[in-house]
Amino acid sequence: MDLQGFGAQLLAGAWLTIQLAVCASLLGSALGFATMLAKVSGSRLLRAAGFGFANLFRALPELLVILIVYFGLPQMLMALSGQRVEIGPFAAGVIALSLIFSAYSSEVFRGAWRGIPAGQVEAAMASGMGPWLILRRIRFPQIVRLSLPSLGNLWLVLLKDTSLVAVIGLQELMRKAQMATSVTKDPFTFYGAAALLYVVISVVSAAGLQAMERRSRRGLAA
Amino acid sequence: MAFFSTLAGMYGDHWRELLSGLWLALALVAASCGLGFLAALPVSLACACDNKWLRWPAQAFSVVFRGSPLYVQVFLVYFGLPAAMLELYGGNVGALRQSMWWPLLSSPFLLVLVAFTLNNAAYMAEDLRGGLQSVPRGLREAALAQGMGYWLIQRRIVLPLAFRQALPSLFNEVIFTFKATAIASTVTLLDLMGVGNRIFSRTYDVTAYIAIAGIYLVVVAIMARLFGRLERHLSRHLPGAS
Repeated sequence: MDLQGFGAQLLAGAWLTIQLAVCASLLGSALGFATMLAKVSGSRLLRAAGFGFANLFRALPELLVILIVYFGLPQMLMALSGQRVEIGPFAAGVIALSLIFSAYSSEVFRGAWRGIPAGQVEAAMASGMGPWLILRRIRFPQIVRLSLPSLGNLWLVLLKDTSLVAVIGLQELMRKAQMATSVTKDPFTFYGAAALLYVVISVVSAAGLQAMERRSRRGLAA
Repeated sequence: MAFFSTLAGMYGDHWRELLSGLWLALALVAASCGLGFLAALPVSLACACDNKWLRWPAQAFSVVFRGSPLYVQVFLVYFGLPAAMLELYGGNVGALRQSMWWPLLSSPFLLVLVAFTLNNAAYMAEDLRGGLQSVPRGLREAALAQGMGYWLIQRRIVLPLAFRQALPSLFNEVIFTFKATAIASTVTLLDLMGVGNRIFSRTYDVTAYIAIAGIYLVVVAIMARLFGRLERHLSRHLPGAS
């Protein structure tokens, strides 16, 4: 495969892709956890808001969410604050992808929340723990372990969705491949190389995720 | 309130365009899911096969098409396939025009359809493989003991059961594919997203995107409800099904 000197560019793009995915998955997990708390809360209003938010962002095409955040969010913020607001492509990409990630991960977290035996929570309550302490010491650690496999799948989906941020001009892997193609007129090589790089990142991170899962299960009887 | 009147105006002014965009998206979903499913059948059988010369290519296909973004695959086929074919014909555009490939290479819809079909085949094969693994070994052995051959067992025993087991995930792929049709807009196809882009570039009004978001929401909700009903209908004889 002759990359005609664009190899370093593609690698730089891949690095930005990874940064984008890492940022969006961290922010998306935090937001997803908060959404899950809304979904399981006692308040009907909070529950409706949680489910509504998650269902909305699970139903919209990823590309559309990215465009709405990039073009619509600055206008919305401007209308609210009266000041000129600009959101760069990286920030817009992180926001859009983490909204999508949180919609899916909230459902994963909710499954894990329900997977914790009620007896443990009751025992913690009987020991005098408050709701926050129970969340932090009993629920959170187990939710992390129970949801890791599904979160790993969501990570792989997210990794591929980052390519769509190329549409708003962020120079991640896909955009670099487009730029290389426009110079060299050799689309097969560069989109092929980009596809293979995505596959490599996916395969490597899948192996990493498996190691994380194993580690999270340490001390548990098989 | 001003926002909602703008939104209503958006539907009022562009409903014809939006409807044609939705139609194109649905056509792409139907064609790529149908063809993708047909292609997924042999791939899933090969993936579950004992012969490594059949298994490895199928697994490689699955890893490549599930490990890379559909967006890249669309560009690879849309721009890469014509370029690669041209290379094959020695850079002679005239000869390529005369060839049997020209109807495919000159149609953006067909090129996008190829990419979507390959992608769907990889994902659906994975769903079917899960279904195949869920078929109890005893059923195969019983069929074998009755004197059925490999293909008869696959056709009468294994595939119907695997299909029903895989149905919920297959339906999910259909919904994912509908959302993914938005990607077709990046190669100038006027699907729903493409129509939204065109209206946005004319008016620079983000309400255009909100308007198509509403349509995506409604169609996804209808699909989800329809598929849920179909699933219940197909498993109504099973114990525990409501």
